[in-house]
Amino acid sequence: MNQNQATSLLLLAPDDQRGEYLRHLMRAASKDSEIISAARPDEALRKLTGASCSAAVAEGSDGLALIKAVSDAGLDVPVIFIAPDDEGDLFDQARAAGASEAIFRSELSPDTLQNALHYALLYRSQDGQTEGKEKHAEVVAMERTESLARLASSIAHEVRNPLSLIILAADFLAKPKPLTDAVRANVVNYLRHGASRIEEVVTSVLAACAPKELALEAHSTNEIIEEALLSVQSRAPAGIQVNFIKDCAANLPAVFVDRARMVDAVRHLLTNAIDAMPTGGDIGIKSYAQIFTSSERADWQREGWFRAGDVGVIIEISDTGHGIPEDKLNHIYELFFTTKPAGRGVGLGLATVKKIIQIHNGRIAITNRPKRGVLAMLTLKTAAHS
Amino acid sequence: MNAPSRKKRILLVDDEPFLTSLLRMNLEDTDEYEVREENNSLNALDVIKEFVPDLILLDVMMPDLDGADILFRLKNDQRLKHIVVVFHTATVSRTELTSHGGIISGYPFLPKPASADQIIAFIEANLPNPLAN
Repeated sequence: MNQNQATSLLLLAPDDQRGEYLRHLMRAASKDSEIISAARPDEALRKLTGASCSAAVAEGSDGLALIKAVSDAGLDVPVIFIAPDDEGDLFDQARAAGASEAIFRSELSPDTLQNALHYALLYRSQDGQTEGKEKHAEVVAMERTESLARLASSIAHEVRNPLSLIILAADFLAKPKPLTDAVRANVVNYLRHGASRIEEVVTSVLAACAPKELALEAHSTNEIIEEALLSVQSRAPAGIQVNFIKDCAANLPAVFVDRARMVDAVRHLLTNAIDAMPTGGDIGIKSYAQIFTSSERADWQREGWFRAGDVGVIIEISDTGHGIPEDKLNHIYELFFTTKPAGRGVGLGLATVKKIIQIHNGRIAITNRPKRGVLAMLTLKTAAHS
Repeated sequence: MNAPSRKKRILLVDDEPFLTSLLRMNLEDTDEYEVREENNSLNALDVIKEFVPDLILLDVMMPDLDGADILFRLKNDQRLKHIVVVFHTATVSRTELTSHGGIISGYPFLPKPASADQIIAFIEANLPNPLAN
């Protein structure tokens, strides 16, 4: 969605001076838009209905009244709310009433307003009855078909290899000849290994594609980290020194998550960090809380659905390993994509982590660190805002 | 039992150690082959030079060097280019192969999974001269 395309925006400001200022910001944020002003909420609602405005920017208590009126009237128009800095209650009420975005005055700039308008218009275009919606549906359907084909091919590949083990082990055992107990045990071990690999693939695909219902409860982030850490203690090969360096903030707000799944997500990230350092190294584990401002939406609001003012808890896991080749970064969440050698992973971990974080309405970001290694960052909603 | 020098030398290059181990056991069971396994694709060329196999059963998808990389290097080495290379891979299906007559880019492919008998028949069909050496 291009926010610079011709469109009408409605402005409801508390007074002329603020009106002038907001109009100036709206022009800077959406250059080609026509800006229609209203002095009161009822007039704004009339104009929204009549002038087919794409979005509205409204400030103060009248702005809140407009949001409620738009909601009551069942109008599909996003309203961006501007709150005075000392009116936290108004800010919260506007969000609760359905503001598409709430921004404190002190955070308002052409950029923050442009981002807010961009996402407001983007979501509207996806939900609206426009030809864009059909195009979007077509693209989604095509991507889904391609991704299903890739998935089917990957599953086939991952199942055929262990199936080879089973067939060859069976062929060997079927020959009429005496076998020592040690040889028989060895071949049976290969057979079992093949069967459990297939089971692992099937279970992981199901976990990554169709997770069961979540058991959401308030949990301590640091306890989740500890549990995941405990499960990977013996992952590093014998003789390889992996140091876990923890920097976890005390008294973090609780996160509202399915504990077992979130432990699983953190465990996968820790496992990847360990595997990325075959000769050893340091793994940093950090947790902290963060209040989000509207300007942080630009990068990732679409994934996380965090709003300005939300408190999130961040988990960072970093390693000092070989990093991810830049040309591979776009593929890391694909099922069966792996940079690990055989036997250390089949490429299901990050696909599973992403799915777990997505169904928790959280956010995952994985990047190469400037010097070496990878930084994985999970952002989770706190219990109060989920 | 044949003398060791009469046995055909088969090199198995695949990053799955359990698979090459089972393949070796099945091949050696026939008493017809001298088999070597290599699970690290980066070592494959050194092993080829040292072992000088009659035939290489090569996997396609491997970390570091894939099957095509190894083939390319082999075919650009005057001393090694005569060695027969066949592929054993899970990346193609039996149906895909049938439509290509079992040959892709001029090289014979055997799809995984295959039985020990199928693999032996495949090797025998592609050895340069089954009666030589």
